[in-house]
Amino acid sequence: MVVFGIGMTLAVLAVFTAPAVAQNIVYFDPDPGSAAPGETITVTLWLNATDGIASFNDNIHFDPEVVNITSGTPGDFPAMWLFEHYETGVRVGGMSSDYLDLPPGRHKLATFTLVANNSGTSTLYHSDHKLSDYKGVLKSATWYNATFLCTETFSKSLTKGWNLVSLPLNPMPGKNHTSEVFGTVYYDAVYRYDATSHTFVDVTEGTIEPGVGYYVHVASPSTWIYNGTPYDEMEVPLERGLNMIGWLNCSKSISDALSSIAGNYNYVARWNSSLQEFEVYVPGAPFNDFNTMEQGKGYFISAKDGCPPLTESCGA
Amino acid sequence: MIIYISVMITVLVSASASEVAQLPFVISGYVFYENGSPAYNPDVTITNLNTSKTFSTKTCTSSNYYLAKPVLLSREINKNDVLQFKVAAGEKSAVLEYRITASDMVYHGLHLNITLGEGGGGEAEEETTSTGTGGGGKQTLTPSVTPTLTPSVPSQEASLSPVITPTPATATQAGKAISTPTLTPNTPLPHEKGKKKIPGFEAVFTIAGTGLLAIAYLIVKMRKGKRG
Repeated sequence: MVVFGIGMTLAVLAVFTAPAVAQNIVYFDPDPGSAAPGETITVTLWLNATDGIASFNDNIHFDPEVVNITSGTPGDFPAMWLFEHYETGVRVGGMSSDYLDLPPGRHKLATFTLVANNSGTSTLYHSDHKLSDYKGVLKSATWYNATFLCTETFSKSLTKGWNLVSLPLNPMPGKNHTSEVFGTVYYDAVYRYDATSHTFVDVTEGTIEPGVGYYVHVASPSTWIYNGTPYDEMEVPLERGLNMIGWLNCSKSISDALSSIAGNYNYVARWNSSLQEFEVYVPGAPFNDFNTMEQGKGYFISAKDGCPPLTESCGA
Repeated sequence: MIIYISVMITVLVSASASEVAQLPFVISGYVFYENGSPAYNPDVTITNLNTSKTFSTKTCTSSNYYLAKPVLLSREINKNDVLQFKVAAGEKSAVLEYRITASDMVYHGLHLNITLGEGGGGEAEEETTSTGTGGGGKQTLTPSVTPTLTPSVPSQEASLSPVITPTPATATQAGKAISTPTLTPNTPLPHEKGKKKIPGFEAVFTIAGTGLLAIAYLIVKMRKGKRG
């Protein structure tokens, strides 16, 4: 019993007195990086070293539809510099200028030039990576992937009074606060509609998201401008009765747009902000006020009982 | 003072929220004649009898469809409100009443097909939206009013123009179309054509005739007896 107690005490002491395991970290900055199609940005690959490091190698992969890394220049490891395209990525590597260890601390591994191709999101992820000291001993590290956003800019005129809108673009990460998305709009109230409680919810001081319709009360005519990546796929559950939904970053005829809920809704309505009155589409009716779902607009859908989710994509 | 300010803020917030409450209430449907044929380009006017507010409708010459336009706001309609539909197409017309149901309020709309009956009567059929996954169920709304022909009506006017009035019991049935045919001059039915006769006249005439014949027969018989 005594032996067991002593053993336990020693074990606990060992845990508390063991030095923290040093961790080398490799990361991109900025993360996420973003640019509009055709634009270029510079992204730096950094090393926060807790060991002496003399060389590194890395393969960085990306979605070429969205972005391309066109060049890489060395930082603190310029010797034997390597930068070449490799399958769906680039292969980079280098050594310290004197082939000896750089001391623990922050070191620049490389600086890359990224060109945005098409709207979308691409992960920049690592493979076959390694850090080693001057003896060639591998050093463990955490390699953080990054995100690149090829963003679009959405612009829409909003009239004074109520406007029924939706977000055709996913806001930039961490930029989904109402005040950021509607940063260019002179608004004094933003509401969404809760289809379950049948009440409006004040999100003036909250966050907003695509797929949802929002009533924005504009105090003075404004141009709504914001950046983001295309919202081009949706799956929105519909409650029995009235739902206030958003739409994608494209225009589609209503028959196509709502094919996933055909026969399960009574009508679609939108708000004409100029006339400050509703316009309506009733399926099968000989005449309607509108026939297309358009980006940036919000809609009311009167869904029947058992209506399936509204699923649609811009590509379909 | 603090309470006063709090109350004012609450009131202002509530007022702001109520301004938002712009929800649609869509009323539409098709108009038919009694034989089932479409009544093109109908003239449909809707009045909320609870608020006396009248709503116009949009129609077209090539269709029997109507749509309340501009689209109503949900605040203009409440559960149990009675909507009066004045419908005319060709030479037919009808006045129907419809009571808004809880289901209508859930769906923020009403799709009401109207059939113009003979003599100004009408019939409504709501395509309900509350059925389950089967969908498309229809709730036929026949006139909920049993025509009440005033029984002891000896007057000429009453017999020519039957007044159909909803009984209180049926009129309060939620969600039922109430048929109130317009008063149009009724033409007498074929068997009613001709002069109106006093009841019992034929019987008196028959008795009197039979009596005269009997007297004549007795006179003739007495004369034969004298000759013999």
